[in-house]
Amino acid sequence: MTRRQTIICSALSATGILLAFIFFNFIYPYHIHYQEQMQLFRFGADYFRESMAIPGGLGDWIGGFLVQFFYHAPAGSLILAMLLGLIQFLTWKNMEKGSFAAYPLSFLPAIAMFLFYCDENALVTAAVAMAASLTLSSALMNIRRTGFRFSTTILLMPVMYYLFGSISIIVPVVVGIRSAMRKKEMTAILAFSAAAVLMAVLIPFTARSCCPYPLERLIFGIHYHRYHNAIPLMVWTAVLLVPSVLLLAKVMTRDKLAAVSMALVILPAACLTPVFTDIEKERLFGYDFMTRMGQWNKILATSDRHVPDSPIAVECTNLALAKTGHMSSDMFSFFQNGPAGLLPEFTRDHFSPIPTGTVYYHLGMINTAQTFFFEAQEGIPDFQKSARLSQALARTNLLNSDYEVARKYVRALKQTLFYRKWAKETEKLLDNPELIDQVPEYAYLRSVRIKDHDFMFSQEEMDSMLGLLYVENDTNTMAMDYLLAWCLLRKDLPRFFECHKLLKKGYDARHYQEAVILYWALTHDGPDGMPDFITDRTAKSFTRFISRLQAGVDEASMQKEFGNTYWFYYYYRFK
Amino acid sequence: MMKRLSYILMSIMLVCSCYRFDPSAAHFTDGPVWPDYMDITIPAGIAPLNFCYTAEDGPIPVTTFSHGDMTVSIKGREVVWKEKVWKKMLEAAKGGDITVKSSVLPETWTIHVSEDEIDYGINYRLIAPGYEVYSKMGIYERNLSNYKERALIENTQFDGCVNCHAYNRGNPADYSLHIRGSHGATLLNIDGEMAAYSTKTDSTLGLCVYPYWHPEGDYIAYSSNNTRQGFHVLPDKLIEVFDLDSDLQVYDVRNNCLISASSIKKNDVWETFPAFSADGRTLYFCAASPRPIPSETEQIRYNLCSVGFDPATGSIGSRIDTLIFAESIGKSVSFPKPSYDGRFIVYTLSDYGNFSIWHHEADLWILDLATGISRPMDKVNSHDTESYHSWSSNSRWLMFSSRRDDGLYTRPFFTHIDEDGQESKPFMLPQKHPLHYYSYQNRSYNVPEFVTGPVKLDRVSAEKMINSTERIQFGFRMSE
Repeated sequence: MTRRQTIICSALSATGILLAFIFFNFIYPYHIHYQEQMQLFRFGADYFRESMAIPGGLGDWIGGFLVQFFYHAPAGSLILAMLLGLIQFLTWKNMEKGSFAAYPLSFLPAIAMFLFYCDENALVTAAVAMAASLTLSSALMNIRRTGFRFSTTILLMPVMYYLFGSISIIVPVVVGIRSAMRKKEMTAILAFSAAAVLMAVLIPFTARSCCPYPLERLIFGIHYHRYHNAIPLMVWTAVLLVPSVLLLAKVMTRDKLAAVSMALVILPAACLTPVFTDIEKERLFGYDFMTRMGQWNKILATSDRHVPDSPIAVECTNLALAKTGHMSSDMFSFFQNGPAGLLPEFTRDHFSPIPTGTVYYHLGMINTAQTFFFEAQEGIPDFQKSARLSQALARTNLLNSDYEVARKYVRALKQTLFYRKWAKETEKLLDNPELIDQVPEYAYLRSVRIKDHDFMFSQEEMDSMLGLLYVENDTNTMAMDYLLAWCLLRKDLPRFFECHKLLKKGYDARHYQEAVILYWALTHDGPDGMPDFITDRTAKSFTRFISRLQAGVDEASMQKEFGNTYWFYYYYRFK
Repeated sequence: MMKRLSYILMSIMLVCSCYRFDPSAAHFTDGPVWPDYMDITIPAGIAPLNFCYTAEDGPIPVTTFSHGDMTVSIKGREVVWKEKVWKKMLEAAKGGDITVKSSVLPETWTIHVSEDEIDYGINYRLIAPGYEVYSKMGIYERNLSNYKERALIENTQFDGCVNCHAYNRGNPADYSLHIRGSHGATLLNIDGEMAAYSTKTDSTLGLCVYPYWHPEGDYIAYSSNNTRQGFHVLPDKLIEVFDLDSDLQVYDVRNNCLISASSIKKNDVWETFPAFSADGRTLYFCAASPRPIPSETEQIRYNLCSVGFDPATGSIGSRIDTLIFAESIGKSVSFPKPSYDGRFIVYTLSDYGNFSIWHHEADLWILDLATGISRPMDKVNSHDTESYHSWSSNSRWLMFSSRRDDGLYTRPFFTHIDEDGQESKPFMLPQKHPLHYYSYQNRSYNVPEFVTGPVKLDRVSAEKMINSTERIQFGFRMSE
């Protein structure tokens, strides 16, 4: 290549890394955070030993090491972008006498890997394993004596499989193709190919006898995807693309073909990226992240921009409303569709219980929060623990005075990079429990939790539980907000009216007025005796709503005029 | 550049793979050493009982162990034995005492080395002590003479969970292993042949759980339980596990048939936790009168009962005897385990219900079958939960699970039971670095059982069986 061509190629690589960084940091930052919270990478012999106990363990350990930096989305984005850049560079390095025209083709495996990482459950281990395998392939090709190169490759196959998993099959494939391209000793190449195939078959079968995983996982990789039943297709596409581009590069020697190879790269990348990108999920992870960080106003601003229509998004919006004191006045300004958007039922997965557990935590239902956090952690499909959930569980156990159990979580967090400081501070509290009440958050939660009445958590008796929280401590106004919201969302106006009477202040909030006047209209013949906190404005608005309703005005018009009222919800939503 | 990166990576890995003793983790106890191995009785074949001093500062202790002419001194806050030296000392001290002196403690203590042998090892399930969802778990085997642990089966091999594992008096050749989930099955290994069974029949309440082998190996007693969980809201209680219904049945191994009888399948009685007597002619179990749940959960109390069983015909008696009327003292019995010499039954006593592992007040009691006298096992009970237990094949050692250290994570303890049924102070399952191991172990030892030798479970065959849909269906008949 000429100097100019080298500069162009370098610029192309830099652009690729930059675009990947921009994508992950600005379009997919919450996916990055999601990845980080699905693992608990610990510096220590135990964690290292656990990782190394199964094939691909070193790749997994390095992957976990890198993912801990995803705690900061820009760092995570940069790491992912650099890894993809490395894969592209190593693919290029493995091209035999790569030409200027073939250079863009070296992006293809990296693009497949990029698409793989649009999936939130794609594990970084796969990229690490690929980079390691390509590095070794490149190094092996520096061995001049063919026989020695082949025998070393065959000997290293089980080692690479043990360290990086089945992606390491790239090594013999690349060595074989590149050696064939050098057109030397074809008999040796054939013998090498036969030996490599035999090893590729034998290795997973042998691994099976000492590693408790099904054969298909030992073949397709244990650590490449969070769901063990999922075969990571894009990873294997990337693996297949490596030999393909090496072969294609052989024919792409003329500079004029550069445009063709550029098209071969840009077209799939441009067409497939929108297909693989899941913005809805990104928004969902965003809600969860903002809830975790207590960014209540940011949640409300997000919900203002995009109607929150999934239960988790609505649930986080409602929590933000409660935390900012706007639930009773603005709740129905946001999309609501039943009580599942307030306190959803438990589902057996590793994500949805987290925001719900957070709601219970803020309500002071510590045991319930602990259940949800624990179950979410146990539900992580690849059997990892979660640093975020361990932190949450340390808090709930600390609040429950289960200090030794809290210490167990704290001990693990002390071995991490980003939670260590918090863990050390919490350890001081565990050593001196009398200091716990000096932390405002803990003091408040201990004061508002249920202390006298034991009962079993029951989704069906949510109103009783929320009521008891308030009855035991009337400073827990959030419990009352949730109780009344629960009744309103279930359209249980008699219960609402009954509970509303318990309010000592804030009883005249907009939605409460709307619900009371509606209940009054449904159960009384006239306004006589109606509570006097109902303002004229509410009364007039209600009269107008009823007259429009009776006149049969269409739903869209009603929504335009009354969409932010409880009345609209009552008549048009959660049917 | 690549070389430099490799060096950095290697250095990180080296740092990460070094074990470092950290005494600050020793918060489990107020005592001077942990685990508490002072004044205990141990079998000669046990792995070295390494322990650590709980004091973080002060002079480095020197611990001196002596028996007769033999003296071993170990310096350090963590006392770690060389396995060969330990074995030699135990062999020499068999039937006698090892005296232990510490340079930093005023007291001297002894370790009595019993002449009664302990079994080869133990099997247990390791699972996070949680609610409904489970992460990685499996059945593991630990050799008691060293620290080696191996996985017999793990849920990485299939979708589901493993539980209810039982051996016939610790015989590793005969076992029953239950798998729950979409690939649910009961694996039975009989006379070296393993097969997957479907244990639910039209005539029984549900799947067969809580297995207990008949001493002759021809029968397995099971219960079928309609189990539910509830979650408390007060801090000192977390989980309540209870049955909405339960029955017993006996599986005839040779004829592939469940046998039930009206006496153990009553609508107005919940029967659970079956266990055969040493002679195989009595079936012990727990029974309670149904109560509305959840309103009267705390009034459910199980008594210890028995019914006759004829191994020749497989017939179950009609008369139910009550051995422990726990209801009368406001208590509830669970996990009755008769000793194999027919002398005692050890059971768990809690305030109510049958899932005693979640009851902090649960303690072990021993019933002398010769005298009918029942008493709490004061030397083994602690302020926290003692629950599941298992006898060694010679009935001289009892292993039990306890949550005494942190109130949540169950760990196995061993106590020597002499001919009169007197227990010794228990000791915890030894580990090479116990403080480190137990501090970072985030799973509980569940249903620990003795085994007399290594269990021959072909993991690959078991996985194939579990993942296939083929199941041998249990038959059913009523007892004559």
